[in-house]
Amino acid sequence: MTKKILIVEDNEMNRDMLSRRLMRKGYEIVIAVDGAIGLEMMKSERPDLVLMDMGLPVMDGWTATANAKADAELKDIPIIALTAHALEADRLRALEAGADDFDTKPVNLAGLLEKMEALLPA
Amino acid sequence: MFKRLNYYLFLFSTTSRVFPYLLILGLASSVILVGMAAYFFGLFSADALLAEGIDDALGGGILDTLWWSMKHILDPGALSENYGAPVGVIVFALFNSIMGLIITGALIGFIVSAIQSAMEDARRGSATIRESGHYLVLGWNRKGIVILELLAKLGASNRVVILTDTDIEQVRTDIRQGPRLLKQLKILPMQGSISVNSELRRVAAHKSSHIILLSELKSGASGDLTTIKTLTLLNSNLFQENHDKRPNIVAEIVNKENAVIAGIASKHQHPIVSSSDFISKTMVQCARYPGYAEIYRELFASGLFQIETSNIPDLDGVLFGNLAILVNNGVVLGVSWLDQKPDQLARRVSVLNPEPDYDLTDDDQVIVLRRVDEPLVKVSLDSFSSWDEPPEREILRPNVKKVLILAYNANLGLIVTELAKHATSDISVVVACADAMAAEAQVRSRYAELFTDKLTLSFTEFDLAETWRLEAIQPWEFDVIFIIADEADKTIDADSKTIMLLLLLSEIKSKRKIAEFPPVVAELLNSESRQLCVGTPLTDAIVSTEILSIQLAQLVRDPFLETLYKELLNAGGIEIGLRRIDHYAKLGEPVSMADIARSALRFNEVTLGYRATDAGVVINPNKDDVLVFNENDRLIVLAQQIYA
Repeated sequence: MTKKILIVEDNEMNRDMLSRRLMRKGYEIVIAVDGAIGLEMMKSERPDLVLMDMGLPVMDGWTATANAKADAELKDIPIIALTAHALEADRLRALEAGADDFDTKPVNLAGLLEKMEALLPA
Repeated sequence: MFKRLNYYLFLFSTTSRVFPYLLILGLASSVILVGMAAYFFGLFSADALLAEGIDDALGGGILDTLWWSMKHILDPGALSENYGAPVGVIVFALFNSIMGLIITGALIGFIVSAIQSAMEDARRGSATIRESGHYLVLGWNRKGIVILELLAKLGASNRVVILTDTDIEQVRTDIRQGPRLLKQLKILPMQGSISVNSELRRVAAHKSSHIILLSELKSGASGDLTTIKTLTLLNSNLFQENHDKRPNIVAEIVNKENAVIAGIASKHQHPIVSSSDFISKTMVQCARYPGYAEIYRELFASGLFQIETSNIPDLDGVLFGNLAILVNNGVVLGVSWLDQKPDQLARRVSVLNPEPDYDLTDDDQVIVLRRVDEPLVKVSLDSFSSWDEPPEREILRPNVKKVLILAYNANLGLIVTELAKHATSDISVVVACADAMAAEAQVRSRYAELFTDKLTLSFTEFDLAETWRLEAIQPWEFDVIFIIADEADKTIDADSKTIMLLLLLSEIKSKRKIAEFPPVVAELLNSESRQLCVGTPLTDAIVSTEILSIQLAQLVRDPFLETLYKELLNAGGIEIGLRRIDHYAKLGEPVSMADIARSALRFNEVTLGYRATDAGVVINPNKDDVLVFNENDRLIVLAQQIYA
């Protein structure tokens, strides 16, 4: 069955490129442009996995991730944090917020796919 | 009766342009008929026929009579040819000749008046344009001349029509005093309101190929409203009837807040350039990469390069990284495709600097930067040396933490917002300006969200009358210094004030013998002021009129560039960065640009060119160029913004 991925990303180019590449790999893609919409779509779309940018407007990715993990309905949806902040502290901060894994932008697709496959339900 | 006749004369002469000519025709016909009555006073008698000007060649009938009468009206000299004719005939000849003088005089008067009126219309710019496929500039301000200059540089051969509320003589003077390059263009300045439908039709807006909407000088703060109204008109059905080819439109909006409404007015079909937003973002980019302004100007305003999408055959399966290094005389910047989702309008997507392992497909187009009028050619494989990959090095990313802003204008809040977006840690901004309390109150009321724990924004009193205060602020302690154009003080123009501040900084630098002075980014309003800043610590001059004009002129020709411009300036996406060369090649040793481009791909970067101490900024060098770089040279790349 096709896995549904929610991409939460405010940058249009990053969003377009990532969704195109993942669609070509056979995933179904849904998009949110800020953390608050991302949380709403996690409830309405029930994605199999979320790729969450951290530097988002309205509600940032750390807060959105923490809120999702605190919500009994959403906590089991795996979240991979994506960020242009390459510091170790940022990685730890994302994991502390509850992200299941972490990747930096620009993404290495092969590496990201490995992380996704490891977290996606069989 | 006479009053009524007088009224009808007034009525017809004011409502009909042909009435004066009809009146003359009627009068001339009446006089001819009166003259023809000479027949009954012996026009063709034996005595009369002795006169030189009277003959009965057609039998002395009505045609001879008509001819005799008519020639006295049109030719006053005909009177003298009646010598010897009967007195009655002479009287009629005299009457016709005098009336002829009056009628001919009136006719000449009307014709001269019509010509003068047409010339006056043209001088006042109130004629009607009979053009199609022309450039149309709606509104006029300082950017107008720079835009015209850029259009000339870019080889625009169409006529350029300007419609503005501004005094047309002022526009003509601006053009006359503008660069010589403008002589290449055929410019027609017209006076009128840009937000009135009939005026837009008068300048054939519906038949134009490109429309640039500028904020009117006269409109002041309400300029954006006029622009929005005009955008609404241009996008109304009323205006787009029967024209398959719609013009490219680009609009300038002064206040960022109004850009959203302008977008709605244009039905999100045309690029909207928010000048305040654009200037703020450009200034911050210059703070992050000193020298950015020069690169930007060379890239977009030199007229040497163009960015376009092109179809390259057999792309299926080719990796973007492999394609990017194979073009010798061009830079492959990104990819573009048509995104067609069910039940949605197709959308053209453009992405800069995709990952090198992005596998292209046949429906991808590539976005290429190339020299104007030079076809792309493949690089010779000899240009690549055997792959000697430099060791992994950590690239230092810009991290601006301590900022000094000298002077104040309405853009200050936007600049600080932009700085905060790029900040990776706590950031401190000091604003030194006249009437600091009022400035702080304004920023607090408009940008309350800026005052957070992560951003310390403080205001301190400073003006040019108390120069010692600047030294007390210790400008050398900051990561970057901004000088923004202060137009509040009408007694001194903004550029003069900026130059004085630069001179003060220069004095402080030499007095304190500071070798490593922070970069100074200044906003100038006039490009000629740049020459006056030589010898000061200025690293980047943002000539706001120039930089905005570049964008407007480019976008009206290639609207697809809007996405690219936005991306290059926004936080969190792709940017133009400057890198030390030793991250890509060995210093002091010959290296080909092909090798450097390949090396840059390791960091997911596309090489745009380089900045060398001797050659300055070089964009799009050939990949087979072999160069020797030194420590101070920099590579110019397109890269994903990474904050580390």
